[in-house]
Amino acid sequence: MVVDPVKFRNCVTRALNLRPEEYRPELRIGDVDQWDSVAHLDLMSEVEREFGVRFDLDQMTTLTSLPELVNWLEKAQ
Amino acid sequence: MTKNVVLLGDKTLSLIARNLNSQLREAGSTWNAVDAGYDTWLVAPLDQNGVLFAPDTAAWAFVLSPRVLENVPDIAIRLDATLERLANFKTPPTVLFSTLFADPVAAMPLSNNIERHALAGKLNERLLEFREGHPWFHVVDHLSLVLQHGVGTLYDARYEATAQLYFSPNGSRLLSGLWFRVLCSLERPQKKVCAVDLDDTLWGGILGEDGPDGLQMADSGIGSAYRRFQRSLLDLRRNGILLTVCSKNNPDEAMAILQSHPDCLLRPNDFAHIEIGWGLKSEAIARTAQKLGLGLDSFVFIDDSPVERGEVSRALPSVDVLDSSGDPMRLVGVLSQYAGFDSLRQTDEDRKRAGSYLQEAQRSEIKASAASAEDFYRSLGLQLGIFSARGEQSGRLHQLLMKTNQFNLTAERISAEEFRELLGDPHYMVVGLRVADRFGDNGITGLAIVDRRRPEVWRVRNFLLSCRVLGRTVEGAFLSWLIGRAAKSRAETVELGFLATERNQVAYGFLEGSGGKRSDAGDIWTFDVNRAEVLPPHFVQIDDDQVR
Repeated sequence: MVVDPVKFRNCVTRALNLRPEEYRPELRIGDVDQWDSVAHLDLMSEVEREFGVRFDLDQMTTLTSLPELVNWLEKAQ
Repeated sequence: MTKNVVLLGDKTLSLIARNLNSQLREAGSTWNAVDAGYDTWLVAPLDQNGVLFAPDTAAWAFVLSPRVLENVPDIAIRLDATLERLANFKTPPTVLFSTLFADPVAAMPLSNNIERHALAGKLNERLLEFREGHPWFHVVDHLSLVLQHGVGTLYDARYEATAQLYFSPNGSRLLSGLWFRVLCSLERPQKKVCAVDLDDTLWGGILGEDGPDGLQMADSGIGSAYRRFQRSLLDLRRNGILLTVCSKNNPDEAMAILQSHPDCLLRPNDFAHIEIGWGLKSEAIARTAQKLGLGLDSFVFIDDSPVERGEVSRALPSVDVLDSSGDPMRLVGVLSQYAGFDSLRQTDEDRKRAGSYLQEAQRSEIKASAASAEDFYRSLGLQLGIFSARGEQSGRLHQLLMKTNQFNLTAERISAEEFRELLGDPHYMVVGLRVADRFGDNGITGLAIVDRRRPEVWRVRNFLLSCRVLGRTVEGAFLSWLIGRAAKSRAETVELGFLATERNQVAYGFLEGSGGKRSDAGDIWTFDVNRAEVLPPHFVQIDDDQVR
């Protein structure tokens, strides 16, 4: 799919409760306090809902950075 | 001063704690949720050095998942042991315990689940029993939330596998919404009074227009939605909330409905106070508060009209105002979504309260002076459109003539045919009135038929307004326009014919206050166009381009 960068950014910012200036496209789990292992699950849930996709168990636990996430979304149907 | 509520469960509760805290912070609550850790509900109560016994812990919240019914052998015994331990505390904290439910996805669902549901039922009964004997112990209804949303929405196997979460992120959000209400109910005083409008709130339809037979509150059709709403108000009453009426209607007519309409479930005795009249609703509610000896901040007001809701909100900001317009099928939902009446338990005293209301010394100040009433009317942005009636509006205007009973000065009924003739008769001026304000357009809601055969006296044969637009200065504006128009046409007086009927007291009330001169027989009210006793409210915009 084509990933609208604004939509993706809004989704991540909302899910992780980031301030606008905290968002960086190369962000990964642990880089900010808000993105811990618990919040990561919230993030996965939000991305699924916003983009209409579904992660399997493996993806849920390994897609722990924004670049990997975008990459996966782009390859998804 | 922050108070901690410690969440204990059999599964991971950190998502719930996090969601809960974000809601608590946003609401400025003094509660703070703390996660006791994974699967600690059985052991934490035994650890005197743990977070449960810390000085700023004010409440324990047991948030259990269906897995306890599957994974904990002798769950009934374990539960009993936990409750016994709690009962033995010298100074127990507030304890909030969730009800249990069985997960519907299992092997052999036709038999397994029935047994698990029964087990959950037995355990929940045990919780309710314990609650009876211990006022600091409360039961939190997980089951209703689950029934409403379904395990399919609340649970996701991937999250259980990854993080031992029974409730998925979505489920955690919904669950924390419930717990947020629970904690708020412990913190905020409960609203005590529910003041309800009648037309299109307690029943479908407008009594003044549709008549008693036109009201909808029967068991089938759209009426059944209003009936269910009435039942839920009775639920409130049963649980100690006082019900009152606040309606704009003829008192006798509306009371007759409450007293004897066969479909009305609420009778006058169900209400602690009844206010039916034509004055400002904020004043009616203020009187109700004084009569009941309760502060205005314990009131909730339900009305379908944005104008009325706005008026009350403005004058009485501490009253919570709920909107009953919209789909009647959703009326009960409006009550259930509102958190003001939330309470985790009812006492016998609560239940008795509705029967004999409290006489407390507390009173509030209300600014229902003439000045603020005018402020309110001004804020409406009233626009009146007055137009000469033509053939194509004849239908609607004639209908208005036939249906309007309350603000109708003569209640003269004319046949449709005769009415059409009047429209074409040059000696008669027939004007219609359209009313709109910032809340919406009420449409064609007024009519005046003026006999101008004698040019120096305008004889107003019919002057009427739909009860929908009364009480907003429209009456005065319409009449003053008419008088001004008469002056422009070089007439000297305007005479309004009046005939008292059973239903038009509100029209008489208006004439009394209008400054016109009443004839001895009471059948004519005369206005001198040069004295202009009836002043147009300067904040009403009148557009009369369409008048010939």
